Amino acid sequence: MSGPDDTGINSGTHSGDGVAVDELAAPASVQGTIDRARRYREQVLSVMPGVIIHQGGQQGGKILHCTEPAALLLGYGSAGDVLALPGILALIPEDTAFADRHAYEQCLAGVVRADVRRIKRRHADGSVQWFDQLLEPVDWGGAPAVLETLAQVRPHTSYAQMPHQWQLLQAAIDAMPNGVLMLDRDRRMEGANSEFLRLWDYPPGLFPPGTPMDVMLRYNHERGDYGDVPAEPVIAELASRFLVRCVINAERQVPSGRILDIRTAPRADGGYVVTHVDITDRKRIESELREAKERAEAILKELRDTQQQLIVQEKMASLGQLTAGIAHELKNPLNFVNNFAELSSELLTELLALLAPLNGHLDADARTDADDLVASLTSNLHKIADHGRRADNIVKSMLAHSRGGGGEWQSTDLNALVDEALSLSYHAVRAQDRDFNTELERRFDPAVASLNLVPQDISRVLVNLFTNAFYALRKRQQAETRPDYHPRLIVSTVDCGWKVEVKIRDNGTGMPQAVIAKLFTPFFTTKPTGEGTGLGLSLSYDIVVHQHRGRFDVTSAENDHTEFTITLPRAVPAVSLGERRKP
Amino acid sequence: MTLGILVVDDEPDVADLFRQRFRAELRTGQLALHFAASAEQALASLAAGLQPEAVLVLSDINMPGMSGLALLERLRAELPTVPVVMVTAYGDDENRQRALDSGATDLVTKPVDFAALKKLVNSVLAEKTAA
Repeated sequence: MSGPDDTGINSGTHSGDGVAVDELAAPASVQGTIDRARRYREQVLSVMPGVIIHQGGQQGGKILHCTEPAALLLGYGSAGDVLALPGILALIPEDTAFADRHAYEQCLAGVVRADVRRIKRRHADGSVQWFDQLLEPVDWGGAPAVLETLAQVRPHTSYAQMPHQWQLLQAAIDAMPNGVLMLDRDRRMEGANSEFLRLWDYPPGLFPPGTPMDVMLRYNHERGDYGDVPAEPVIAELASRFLVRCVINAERQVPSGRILDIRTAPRADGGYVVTHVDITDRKRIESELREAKERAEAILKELRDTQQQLIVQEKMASLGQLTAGIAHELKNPLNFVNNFAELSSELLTELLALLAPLNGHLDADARTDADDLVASLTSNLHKIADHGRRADNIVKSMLAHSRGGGGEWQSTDLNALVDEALSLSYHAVRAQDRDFNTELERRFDPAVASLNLVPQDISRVLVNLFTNAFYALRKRQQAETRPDYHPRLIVSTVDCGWKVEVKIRDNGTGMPQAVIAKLFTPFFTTKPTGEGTGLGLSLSYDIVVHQHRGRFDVTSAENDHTEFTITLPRAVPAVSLGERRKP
Repeated sequence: MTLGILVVDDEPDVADLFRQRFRAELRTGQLALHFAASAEQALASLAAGLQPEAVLVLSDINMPGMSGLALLERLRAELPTVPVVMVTAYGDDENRQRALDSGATDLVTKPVDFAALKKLVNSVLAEKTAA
């Protein structure tokens, strides 16, 4: 390049004056005229808007057509380079993707906006540059497409008359990543940058310098930013924030879906600088962190509950083991007690037979005394034998805790099992007490169907619970003075998908909290001595919780009800922790 | 003819119990009872020779030192003609099976039912006498 022409043409300003001057000067050579023609073309292209036709935001937005000016605007060598991109989204910076997708959707839906959008696009050199954009729906070979017109940002007419210093300031705030709005002391707009326009989706040129803020707020209201509320109170409320002369932070969601942190700072001259920071990503991360924390806390709580349950299980397991140990230790001495008591009784009979011939040698008083003593001895030996047998039965139930049961795991119709255990227990209790009668209500859920369990053991648990329930009903019936008391037992089964529940509810005597707390402890019983061993529920707990990996829950209110809930999982791990404790 | 029975149990009161339970048989001289407090002691007395000779061994399983099952195995190997009756604990199915597998003549369950035991002893003795 040579000649004086260069200076004017390449000045790169928007001013048309330089071009006009250069065009008037005569060319010095043919090459000079050709260069001049090429530069003129470049100038024409630079003021011509670029047009891109694409499929919008869906599936990456395939680019269908691109004009030469569009490619140049975006910094690409030719339209072919733009067409080679994967889609229109490759040109859109991440932080504006949501708003732009929305705009494309609106356009494809046939909504034509009468105003210009101020947008950011990724330049070929990696920088982000501002453009003004128009969108129109078009038909491209029978399919709907977006016709996107891009133009270089030009200052608003009123800006052009601003002093040079102001224009420099404008350029500086335009380069800022945050939205900036400047207001004078009367809250009239002094200036704003492109990011401000983009964040609020204000068309460039809508609010020239000097626009009162009330007009901007009213515009927001009319386009529906504040929802369906009367305008005056909202505008008055927002305007009132400027009465407080200090830094105010507020959070707002703008129509583009972004969340803004709006900071209003008073200036020394009475004006304001309002900065808008897009905190959508920070908010998203915060809410993700909060959710993660809540999830972690929920899991922790679950772990704590499980731990608590394990502690209870372990306590019960060790008590069960202790029980079995005690039983084993007691068994042998008890055998001797029973055997020697029985033997002594036999020996006494033999002794009496031997002494029979001597009876005649005793006087009447001695005879009576001797007979008394013999009667007492015989009765004592019977008592020893009776109580020995009782102790033996206790030891046997204790051993049942640790006994390697012959029970097999098998697929069992739970409803049938419950029904069978119920009839069995009811007949047993009626055999003991003909006067006893109760209403029985069966609420069996057919969806329970079959599940894998050890029927003998679960049946034992059920019989145990039914027997207890009948006992409580009978006790209350005997004690109850109200004539309208009707004993009632409700047995229900519930299918809960991966588990099933058996609920046994009686309206008997109920239990106080102190009794519930000790319910599963071996040897704890509320029945009179000799009537219960205190091992029934302890054993039941063992079967349900350790052997079947289920749950055993109880609720009760005195003189109202008791409800036992057994929860059994459908799938039990092949090897259960406490399945069978070896003695 | 007096037949000897060796009772192996670590409980010393077992001796009294058996003597009193079998007092009629002991008085008539039908039976003689020998006692050993451990499996080791039982093997020692059998090796030393008991008078009258033990024709039946009755042994507990759970004993300190050598267990009743180990004793059973030794006796099966050394004295195959002497029947051995094992005393097993209630519900201890595992040991029951092991005792039978190891060649126990019969089993009695604790607490010992002496009426049944007497019958058993008599049947074993009857077989012995016949042989």
